Amino acid sequence: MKKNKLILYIVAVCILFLLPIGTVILKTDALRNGEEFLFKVEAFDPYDMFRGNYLNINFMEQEIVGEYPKAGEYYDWFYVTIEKSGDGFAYFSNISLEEPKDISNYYKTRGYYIEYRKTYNIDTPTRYYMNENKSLDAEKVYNENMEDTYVKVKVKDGQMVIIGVYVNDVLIDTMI
Amino acid sequence: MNKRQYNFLEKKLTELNHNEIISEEQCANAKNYFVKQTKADKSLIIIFMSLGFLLVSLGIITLFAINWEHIAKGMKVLISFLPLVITAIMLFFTMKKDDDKLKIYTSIVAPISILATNSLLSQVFHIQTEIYELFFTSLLMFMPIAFILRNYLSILVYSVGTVVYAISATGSMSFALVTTGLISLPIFVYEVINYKNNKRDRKNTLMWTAIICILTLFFIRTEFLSGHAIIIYFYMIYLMTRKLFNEESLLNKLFKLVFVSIVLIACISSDMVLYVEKMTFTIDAIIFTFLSAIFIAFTKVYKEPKEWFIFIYVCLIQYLGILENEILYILISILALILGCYKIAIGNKNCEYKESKQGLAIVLYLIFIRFMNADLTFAMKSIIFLLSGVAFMFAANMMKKRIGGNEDEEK
Repeated sequence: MKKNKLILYIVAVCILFLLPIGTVILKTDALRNGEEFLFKVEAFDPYDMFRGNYLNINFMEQEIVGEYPKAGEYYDWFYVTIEKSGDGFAYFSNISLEEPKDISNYYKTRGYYIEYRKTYNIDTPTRYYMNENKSLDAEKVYNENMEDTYVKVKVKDGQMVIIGVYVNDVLIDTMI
Repeated sequence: MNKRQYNFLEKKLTELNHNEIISEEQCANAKNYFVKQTKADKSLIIIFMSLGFLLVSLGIITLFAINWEHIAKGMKVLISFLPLVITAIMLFFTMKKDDDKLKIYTSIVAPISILATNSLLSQVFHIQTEIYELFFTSLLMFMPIAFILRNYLSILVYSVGTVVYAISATGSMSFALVTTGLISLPIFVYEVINYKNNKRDRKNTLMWTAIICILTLFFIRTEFLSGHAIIIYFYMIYLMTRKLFNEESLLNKLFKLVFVSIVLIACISSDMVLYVEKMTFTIDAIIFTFLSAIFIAFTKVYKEPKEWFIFIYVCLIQYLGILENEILYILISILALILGCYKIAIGNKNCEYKESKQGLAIVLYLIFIRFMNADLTFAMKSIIFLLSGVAFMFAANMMKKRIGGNEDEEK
């Protein structure tokens, strides 16, 4: 193969692998070294044509009230700090348009500001991919244990990775 | 020219020679001239082989998917990268040999592999992306490959992905502007490279690319006409790329056949059924119907009644899907599958490749619909993919043997 073609090939392959490898590194780092948080959720079972069945989870904690700086556009990116409350569950404590420098327990996400309510509505993770035969049963398990269902996540430097959905400290996948 | 047409011509030339209208030398020269044009349609073999390979791979991947939850995370990540590794290897050999067949293979395998890797990784790490974001990421990763291959099939596949992204994406105007520019760039570069010596065609290129950018923006920003956006977009791409093909080109006809005819008629019939059922006469319904009539006129599908029958039949599948009658839906699907396979076999036997391609389009349409069917388990999907893949490979092998036999006969 000629030299120019070889260089072109190397560039193409680098672009091809760059994004997925980068994603794996960031997510794995968050999983290994991130701080653990628990969020209360509600759940139901839809379907994604490419990635299969998943449990749709809605975080109970999705808003933050207060006078926070508004993002440039109506629906835009910002950084939200996560803290633990007295009952062991997490909540969103602060919003910043700039990436925080001195902490790692923040999550980069999108949302919009509701002016008249002085509230930021935050996009939280909504999908937990599961075995197709179990996702519907998982929804039933949730319906029977609504108060005791939560999602465990690891957060580090803007990345939030879901570890699992738990019911009474038991992983929902193992209950079915 | 297919074999049947050549046989007919040969008979007529011999007749003319017998009746002393043309000399023996003229008869021999004319036969030699036309025999060169009678090329067996080997491109169909390549497409069948590629599709067979792809479907078998999808079947194997779905087999993994059944046991996915029992596999360790590290192993899942490695398996997720496997399609990309295959793509990189195929790209290396394609670039090394600069072979047209390999380019066709890579053009089909690469985008599916990229989409598969991204889907698997987002499943492993529960990455929160919508389908249009998945498509956009995959398009960006495929862009350098499409540019390197510079093959009309890779550009076509890239354009298909662009359309799907364009009609499903939402976002801010600035995001829409940047992404539209980025995803239209390979089409523009490809056209400029091909028409660098022709100023008039370069102007057309700029015009078409500008129209594509505007249309993509329009479809990103609005849901109006979304049902027919795909048709408008495909027709634009078809007009733009038509110059690249000669009239006998297989892929030109396949493109026209599959995308313009089936997609057009399927979308129109389902839209019209929905609106008639609702008994509404809103402006939307009138505009939809009007646009449908325009596109039927443009594509002139009405000129070939035989094709109308087939495509209306296929559209019935969608109509019955809307009515949600499962039993009829399955029966009609099975009949359509038999019809598609029959057309492929008959077309191949009589060297009527137009018929084979119609059959191929029907079968592909069915397989695509089944993949998207949420009620099928992964086990069923993997069986369908594996069986269809093996069938396509077997058909390609049969065609190859047949063409090889015909060429030996001619020698």
